[in-house]
Amino acid sequence: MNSFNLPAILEKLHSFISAPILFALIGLLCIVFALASWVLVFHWNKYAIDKSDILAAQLIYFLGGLLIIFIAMISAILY
Amino acid sequence: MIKFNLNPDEQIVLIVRKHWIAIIGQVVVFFVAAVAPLIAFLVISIFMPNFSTWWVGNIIYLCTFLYAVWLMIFWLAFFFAWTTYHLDIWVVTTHRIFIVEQKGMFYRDISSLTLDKIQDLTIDIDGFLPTMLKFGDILVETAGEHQYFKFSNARHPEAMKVAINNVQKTFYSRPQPVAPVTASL
Repeated sequence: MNSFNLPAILEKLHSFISAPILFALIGLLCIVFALASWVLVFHWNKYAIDKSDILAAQLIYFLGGLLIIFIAMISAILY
Repeated sequence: MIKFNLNPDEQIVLIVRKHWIAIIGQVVVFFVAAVAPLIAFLVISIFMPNFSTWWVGNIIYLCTFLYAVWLMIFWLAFFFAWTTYHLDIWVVTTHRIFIVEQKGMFYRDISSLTLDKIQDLTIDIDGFLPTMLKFGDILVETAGEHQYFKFSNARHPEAMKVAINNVQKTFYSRPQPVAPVTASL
């Protein structure tokens, strides 16, 4: 009977995914983030009615997003 | 910023937004989904005695990377949902109401309704939560082609009703333009 074996899955992942794959994924992540940011900023600048809310949202969005990309990048470098 | 084509003597009186309750369901789902892998990690580490032996090589960094990608998905999903929520507004001016419905990221519907077209204005605050948190539905019946407009989960609907009634009173009490009378012999 096949049972769920997390260590085996982790080991398989480790042997399958190499560092260049991670860097390619980071590139993809950056592209997706840039496209999503473009769409969001377009909507915020064109359709929002109050500047202060949008400025706060932009600040939180970009800080959080860049922090996530930074974590992904550090992980890929250390991998 | 959005610009409405206001008349020279027209002013914005009130901007009505949806209550945060309208988005809280999505926020909870995104948050739970985002932290679920962390919780799973903690639960497994507590209940599996040989957990530390699983982390062969640099697998911990791979897991961190995958978790960052996972977080990014929900980070973006949250801001898309928030934007849709935030841009859904009613703007009451001294002459009319602009109804901006942001139904999706790329689906936006803007209607304008002059105050003289309003036949009836109903607010519906139904239940314990809406009463305590001061939100409810606003329903405007009109004489126009579009028979009614509904704004669900609006913040402070009572204040909105008072504001619309006040601007309506002012609107009707202003001197109405007199149509020129032409007489033909």
